[in-house]
Formats: sequence, structure tokens, C-alpha cells
Amino acid sequence: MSDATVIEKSWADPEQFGAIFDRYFSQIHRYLARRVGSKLADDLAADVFVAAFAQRTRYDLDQDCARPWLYGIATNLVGAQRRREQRYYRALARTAAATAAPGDDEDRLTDRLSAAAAGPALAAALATLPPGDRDVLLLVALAELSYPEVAAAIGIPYGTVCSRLSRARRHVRGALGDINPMQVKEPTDG
Amino acid sequence: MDELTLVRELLPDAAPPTGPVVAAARNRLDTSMHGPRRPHWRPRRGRPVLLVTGVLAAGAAAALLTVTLLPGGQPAYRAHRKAPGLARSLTATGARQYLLAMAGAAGQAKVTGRYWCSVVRQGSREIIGAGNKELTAPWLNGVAHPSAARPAGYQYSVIERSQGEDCLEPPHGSWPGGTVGGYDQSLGIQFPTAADRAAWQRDGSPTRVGAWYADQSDSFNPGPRVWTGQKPGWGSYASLSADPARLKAQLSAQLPGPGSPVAKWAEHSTGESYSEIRNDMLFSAAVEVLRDPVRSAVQAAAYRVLATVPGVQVKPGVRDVTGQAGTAVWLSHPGDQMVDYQFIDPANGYLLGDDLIAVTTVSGLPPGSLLTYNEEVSSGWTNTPPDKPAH
Repeated sequence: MSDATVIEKSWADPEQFGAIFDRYFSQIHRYLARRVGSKLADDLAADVFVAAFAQRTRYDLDQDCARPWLYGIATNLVGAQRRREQRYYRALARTAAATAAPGDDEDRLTDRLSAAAAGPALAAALATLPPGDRDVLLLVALAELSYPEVAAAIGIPYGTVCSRLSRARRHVRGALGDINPMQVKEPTDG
Repeated sequence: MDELTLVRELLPDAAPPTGPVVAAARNRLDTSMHGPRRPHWRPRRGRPVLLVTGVLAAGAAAALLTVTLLPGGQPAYRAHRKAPGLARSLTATGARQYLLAMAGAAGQAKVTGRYWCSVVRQGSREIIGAGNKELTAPWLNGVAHPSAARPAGYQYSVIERSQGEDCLEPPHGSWPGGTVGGYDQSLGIQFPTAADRAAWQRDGSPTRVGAWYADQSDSFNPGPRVWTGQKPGWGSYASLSADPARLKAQLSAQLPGPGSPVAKWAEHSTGESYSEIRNDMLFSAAVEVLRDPVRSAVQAAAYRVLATVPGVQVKPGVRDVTGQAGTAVWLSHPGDQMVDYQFIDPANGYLLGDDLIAVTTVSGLPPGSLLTYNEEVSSGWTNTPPDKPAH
């Protein structure tokens, strides 16, 4: 049964909406945890489904998949917590460190070390990114939504998605300055 | 590696939500299916209008910020913690002796309540450019050596303020320890100087500032106090040692080693040696202990760790930008453009907050300009839990 069908049924039978929760709660929580930390994500993820339930009669039934809709709600809720999100990134900027996970292959390890080397500047760049640009960047990078899905999620034109993403990537590159993460060697210790 | 991959690596995939988290969220959804909930907020307390009018003395030898509080002078929200029987007259001839004396003061405070509750106000200077857009502020962007020149398009500055309230309860029974509740609130923006206000007026007096979007920009008005709820998680508070040498070893063990990517990045961006960077990180880690709900004996040990950090400086008898009287503690290095002053209460060793101050011209701002601040409005042990909003 498609998401749209479930949501339509929930108009008359609210309990049906539980199926949407069961399908998407975990991935919405993980997206939020990456944006604002797991503690705040616990609350926000619950808020997403309470808000979605309240808005279910306005859902566009032509959209079979509710995923972009839910990510859009999650993104809007993060917007209301903008200062907390900024604090989270600033904390990351102070503490970002490399952690090689067991099973990392060489490319993966290189990626981790590169991100760690650039981490403080990168986290600080996220903290100062204009909120709308940050939303687009993170919906693409973390939620892995397509550009049309991002447009649907936050209600902006496709072209605006492209321009915001381009601007966000420029901002990040600018914040990294002349640091080239690829030139950072693997640690000798620590 | 492109920017998207860097972002993914910086914010790695999180663990799935735990069973209790899923159950609690599902319970909230079920509750919402059976009728609307009505949030209820406690009334806000008064707030001071902050106007920084002073400058830092040449050479950054002392924090001599002059602060005018309008109206009334003394902030209405002061809720100073008291440590009975401790003298306010602790003096020392040098920073090390002073910090060791503070260890004695901090170690005498008692745990007198079930909850550790804190209220922290934060402020950050944001710079606004042409078209009412927020420009990148170096001090919020991890830049150690910013340019003295004003950024292109610079119009004026605002101080964006917020407040966080949290109450934590240590582990007991089946409770693993963690936050039992709290609030988050935007306090609205203010102008750091009359000149900034005049520039804002010349710019058409926009009611919202830094407007990339009408609903995301900063307002002059405080926002609602948002209940942040219960969040289990007690971290390493209980495991920190009250023995100074062990505590120093615990804190040092968490620091990046020489040659690590983080250390290399810090060396690159600050121009400092690894030993200097390690000193900075140890200083910050010890200060964080003063902020945490740890036993007073651990706070005392943190002061003894601070006393061992080379280059630590202390100046009693100063006021921070919010007007709190205390003792400034900081590390400084030749060529510093910004200094983060920590303020402590000499009566009991509690942290009062910190001010990041420009000590040279930064982004066109003169020496003495406030860049960011944290004010520990109140913190301490209490038997009163947070006032949870009724639904």
C-alpha cells in the first residue's frame, strides 16, 4: 500500500497513520541526529510525526512516497531550532577529530581523515551557512534526496535548489580556505 | 573528495534510535491522535538592555570593558549561588597561587540537591552587509587570524542572543542519569553600540535582520521558551577523578596526539606549535569541568590542573560584559587577535561565563569589541525540578 493511500485512509481512521511512523521514523531520526545531535533528535523526530499527523489532510495524494514530505517537516523543525543547530556545529568545530572505524577500507579511511583535518573549519562553515542553503546542502548530502525531491520537501523551485546548493558548496570551499584535506597525511600516533 | 562527502564524514550516520526513544515517540503520536495538546509557557523574566561602550586596555593586559546596563543598572535575572562560609577575599601574588587557592574554595562546596540546573545566556556578534544579509563572521568560523579590514559590504553589527536552561539528574535506580528537562529560547538581537543602531536606521530600520528568509532571520523580540524534554545520558561526569594528577591524565588522554589530523590542522591555522596547542586544549578541557555537574572535589582538582598550564593568566576584580564581577582567567599568546576570557566567582570557584574579545582590530572592529559571550546566569544543585509545561 503506498504512503499516499495510507495517509488518505488515516483521514477517517487516524490509527492508520501509525504505518507511516513505522516506515520512516528511524530514517528521519537518523537524519536529525546527524544535523543536531542524537539528544535533540529524539524530540524533534517525534515532533515530525505529530506535525505530519496534524497536516495529513493537506497531503498531496498524487505523491505516492511521503519521504520528501517528512524530510521537509523535519527540516522546518530544525529551522525553529536554528540556534541549537549552530551550537551543535560550533561544538563540533571545537572537538572534531578523526576516528577510524573498524572495517574502514583505505578510501574510507582517507575520507575520514580528510574530513577530520577539515572538521573544525567545516563545522564552523555549517554553523554560519545561511539556513536555507544549509537545508538544501544537508538534504542532498545526508538525506540523499534528489533535486526534485528537495524542491518538493521544502517548497521551492527546482532552480532555487540548484542555486542554493551551488552557493552552499562555494561557502564550504571558501571556509576551508587553502587547506587541502587530501594533503593531510595519516597520523603517526594519537 | 568533494564537499558533500566531507559533510557526510563530518556528520557520520547515527545509530538507529533506541527502543525507548521509538516507544516514546510513538506514544506522543498516539496521544496526538486522541486530541490536541495545548502548550503552556511560564512568563518570561525581565531582560537587561546591553550596551557595550568601552574598549580593552592596550596590550590586552586586563579586561576593562565598561558596560552600561539599561535600565536599572543591575540585571534583574541574577541568581547568584552562595557557598556559605567561604571568604570573598582570596588573594594571591600570581596566577598559579591564585588558582590553587580557588581549588580550596571550590572543594568546600557541597552537593545540596537532587538536580543540577543551569541557565546559560549566549550572545554572538553577527555582521550585516548590504541588502540586510548576514556576512561570515571570522570568530564564528574557526578563523584564528582574521583580517583587520572590514568585509566588503559591511554595514553594522548585532548581538544575537539566546538562553538555554537544563536540569540534569545523576543516575539512580533505573534512571541512567541525564537531562530531566529544560528550555531553549531566542532572546532577540540587540545593538552593541549606538553607531550600529544608527547604521541600521540608515539601512531602513528592518524589523528582522540578516534576512536570507523572512522566517529565518533574527528578530528584536524574544521567542517562546521551547521545552526541550527529557534526554537520558550522563557521559563521563561520574568517572572524572578528584585527584589532580589523575584528572589531568584523563583530560590529556582525550586530546589529539602530535601528528594527528586535528593537531596538524590546528598548527596550520594558528601557526602555533603542538605543545602550545596542547596547552590550549588542556586549558579548555579543565574549564569545561568547571561547567559540568561534577563533585566539588573534581572542580577543585580542575583548578589544580589549570594551575599547571603554562601561560595561564589571572586578574581578579574585573567585570564581564554582562556586569558580573569576578576574576578573569585566560591564556594568551604573542600575536593574539582575539582572547577568550573565562570569568570565575572567587567566592566559590563557580564559572560565571566567558567573553571572546578582539584585542586587535578584527574585521574593522576596534580592540575591545565583544565578539561572543556566555553568561552562566545560574547553576547549581537544587531539589526543585524544572517547571514542565502543562499540556
